[in-house]
Amino acid sequence: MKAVYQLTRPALLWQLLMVVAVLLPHSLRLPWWLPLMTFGALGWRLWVHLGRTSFPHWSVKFMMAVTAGIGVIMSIGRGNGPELAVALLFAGFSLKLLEIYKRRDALVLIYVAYFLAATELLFGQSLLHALYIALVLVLITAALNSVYQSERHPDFWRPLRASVRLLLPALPLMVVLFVLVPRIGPIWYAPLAQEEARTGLSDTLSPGDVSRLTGSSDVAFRVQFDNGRPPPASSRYWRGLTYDRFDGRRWEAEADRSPFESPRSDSGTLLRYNMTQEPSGQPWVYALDYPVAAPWPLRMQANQTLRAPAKIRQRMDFALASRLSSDSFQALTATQRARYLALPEGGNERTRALALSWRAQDDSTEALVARALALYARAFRYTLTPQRLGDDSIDDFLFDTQEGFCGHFASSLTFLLRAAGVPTRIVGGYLGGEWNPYESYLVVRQFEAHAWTEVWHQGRGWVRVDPTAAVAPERIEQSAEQLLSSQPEFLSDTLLSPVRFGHIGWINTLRMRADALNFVWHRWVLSYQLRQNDLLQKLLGEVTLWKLALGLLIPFSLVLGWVALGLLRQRRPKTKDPVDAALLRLIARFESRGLGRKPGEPVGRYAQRIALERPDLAPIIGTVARLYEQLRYAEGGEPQLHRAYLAAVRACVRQL
Amino acid sequence: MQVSTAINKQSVALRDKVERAISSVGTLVLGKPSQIRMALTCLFSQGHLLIEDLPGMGKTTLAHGLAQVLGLSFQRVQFTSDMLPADIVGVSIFDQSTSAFRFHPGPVFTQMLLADEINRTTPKTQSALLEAMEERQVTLDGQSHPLPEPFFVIATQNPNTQFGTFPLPESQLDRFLMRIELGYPDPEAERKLLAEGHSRHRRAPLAVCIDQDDLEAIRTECQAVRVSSSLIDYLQRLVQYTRESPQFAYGVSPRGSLALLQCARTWAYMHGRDYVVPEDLQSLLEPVVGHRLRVAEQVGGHGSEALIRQMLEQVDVVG
Repeated sequence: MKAVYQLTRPALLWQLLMVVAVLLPHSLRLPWWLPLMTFGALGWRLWVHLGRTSFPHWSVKFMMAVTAGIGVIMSIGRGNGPELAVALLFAGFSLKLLEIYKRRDALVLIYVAYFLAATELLFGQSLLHALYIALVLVLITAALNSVYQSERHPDFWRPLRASVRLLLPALPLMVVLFVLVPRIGPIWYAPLAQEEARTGLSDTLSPGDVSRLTGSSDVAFRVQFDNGRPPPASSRYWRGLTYDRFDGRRWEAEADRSPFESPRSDSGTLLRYNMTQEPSGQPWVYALDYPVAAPWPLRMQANQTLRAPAKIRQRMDFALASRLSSDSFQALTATQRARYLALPEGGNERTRALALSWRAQDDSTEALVARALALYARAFRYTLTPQRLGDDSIDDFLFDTQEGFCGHFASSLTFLLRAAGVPTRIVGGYLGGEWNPYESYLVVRQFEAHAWTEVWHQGRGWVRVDPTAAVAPERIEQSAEQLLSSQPEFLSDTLLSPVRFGHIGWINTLRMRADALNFVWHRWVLSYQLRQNDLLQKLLGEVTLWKLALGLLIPFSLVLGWVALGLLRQRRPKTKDPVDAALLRLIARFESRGLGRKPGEPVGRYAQRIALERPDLAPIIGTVARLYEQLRYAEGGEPQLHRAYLAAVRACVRQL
Repeated sequence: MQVSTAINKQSVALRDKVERAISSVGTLVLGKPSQIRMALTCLFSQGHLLIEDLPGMGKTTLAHGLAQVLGLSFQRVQFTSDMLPADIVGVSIFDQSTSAFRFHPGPVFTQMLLADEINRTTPKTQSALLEAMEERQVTLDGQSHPLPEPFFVIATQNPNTQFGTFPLPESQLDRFLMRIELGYPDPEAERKLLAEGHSRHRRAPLAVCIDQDDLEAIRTECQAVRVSSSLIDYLQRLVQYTRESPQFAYGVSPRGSLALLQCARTWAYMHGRDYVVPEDLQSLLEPVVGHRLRVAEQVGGHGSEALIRQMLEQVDVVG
């Protein structure tokens, strides 16, 4: 074993530091005992370094490797491919710590560390992740540098400085490559376990459902309007799906296969916006009431909702357009009419009776709706914690408990109107949104989930009727937060959510700014491919291959030139001595003619070389060299010698 | 403009003698004037010389020639693996007639000792010689016997890769002021050598060119050669490079840098200058410093020669 390959003390410390840095973000995802094992291995290795113990025997290492491998498989299960792979890699990585002794071992560890740092991006891609991984890259590169550090001059901080110096020039190149290189879709896709089980609306609605969402302050989607202004608070209805079928207890969304026909006439201003939807695990896409058209690959359904071809498993961007008001409609077909009037065979008799009695008095849709809303406004109370309802839930709600929230109101109103013979449906979605002034976009969170009804008016089409507005008009006019914050259920899932502290000014500002930063990060980095074309067109005009190539080449040459200049500058130190300064000036003149002096070339030999290349200058350059030698090495201090030398240099420059 | 080199008539005559000595040895060792000059530089600087090369390259011939032109008493010891220190320094023998021990001096008691193939003997015998080189005296049974003045050792050694060699340790290599290699002769010189054939062995010994007074005078003049601060700066940059570069296992010691400067003075003198220029250091760096450096093990495949060349290219002459 050659002793010289042994790692120096700073090198070893850098390895350990690197391991901790790589481990940190993964540690919450890994089985709990794996980070402990890593720290155990770290401690052991440090103990070896201090000379308190020795490296483990190979049989011990073998046992540990087998145990760790089985342990990882048992704790994670074979279903979760990426997690399992990362955890196995981590187990090996940790155990390898017990083997690092020589440079080769350290290199294995370092290369695996680069890979492990990259795997972190499988699990999160936020700005914080990216910044942290950039930091980890600097640390790993420092560890790599430390391995090659001279053993005679170990210096703990030098590898870090070298690492920063190495990576810094790569930064502009990274930006250029990011902006210019065309994006190709992923070659493979591995589903990650946590994509499942998202919060959000589901395809069934029982009256209590929406309150489940009020416990969560997770973001549902963010919207950026092309005109930079949000619509008024009272029209921020975001429709996702309609619940059409009632089975007595719950409402179900039933796919209506018939296509949506665009409205006959266009009225109201068209509002264009960009919708960035968080992964919901559901196929529907939320749009401001009322969406006009579906961009590819979305599909507009007959109930005027948008649907993606597959469940939304990652953040997605859509360019949508809506009108706030729509008096256009298409006539109901007989099937549709039957669907929007359908009720279960029996149950909720009191409600049915009430509906029939109302209808007997005045069967116009307007009158029926008005009576229902008046009923709600008179006796009902808005609460997130209503009493439990019995088997005839609608009857119980309307006549007994008379308290609840949007789900209760929407489903009872729908039942009531259908019983009275008016086609009605429940729309599920969100109401509201918080305006972020820093990046001018609207954030809609889970607790803003809402359900309302749409009533079919003969000759006017579907009209939105929000019964909640009759009971608690502040739900529509103000933010959900202000209304709900008095309710105990509100944000019960996230006790420490910054949204809870929205009333404290600086926390609110901080939260908005952080959210804005993340939004920009997502818009311009994570989903850059959507904007690449536009941006390149803005930057380059028409995008052609040679323009792209030029765009790549120029920055590369600039950076490389800058690095080369730095290297050259290091070699040619400035001098204050007049004799040397004159010589360096002369040499610079020659250098521009391709006759530079090599650093190790004494002036005499340099002059001989010049004389060979430029015989016309031979006498004068010979004199310069001889006088320089006299002044420098023979310590001739006479002033006339000095003057003669400077004169010779000037003469040489002139003759050049 | 008159360039001040301060050469008086006596110096001219002395330098003439040096040139004659070089050409005189040159008739014996063909086509190696620069190595002869280097060897003389070493001797004028009061140092011992190590010649390293393959057998049959003219190492011994060179040593012979040098001894002859300098007019020094000459002894040659062929080192073998079974030699003992007594074979070199001498022995005390009990004389029955006087009932006392009498010292029989060994071959080391001479002005010029040729230690042939020094690395073929055991470290014990090597160290006996090396002590004599350093102390210029031999101590036996508590009695010191000074060696004659001047005292030069020219040691030859085979490259360490050959069979049956005991490589000299660094501490002992350091005792030699210079290590030179002769190398194969160029075709022209070799042709002349072959043509002369056996007649070379019968020729008369070379005439003495430099006697001991001249030697003393040369040494005095060498000491007077000027060394400017710019030159010392350059020397320090070179030495610093060997100490900092990861290519060397360790750098040049202060003894090494002193030796380099001493040799540079003599070298400048032999080139007719009374001041040292960077070229002098560059020419001497390999012979003076080469055997004092060890190449770091990571830099496999490079000899110290190549690394010294690289170092000369990288260290800036102009500060």
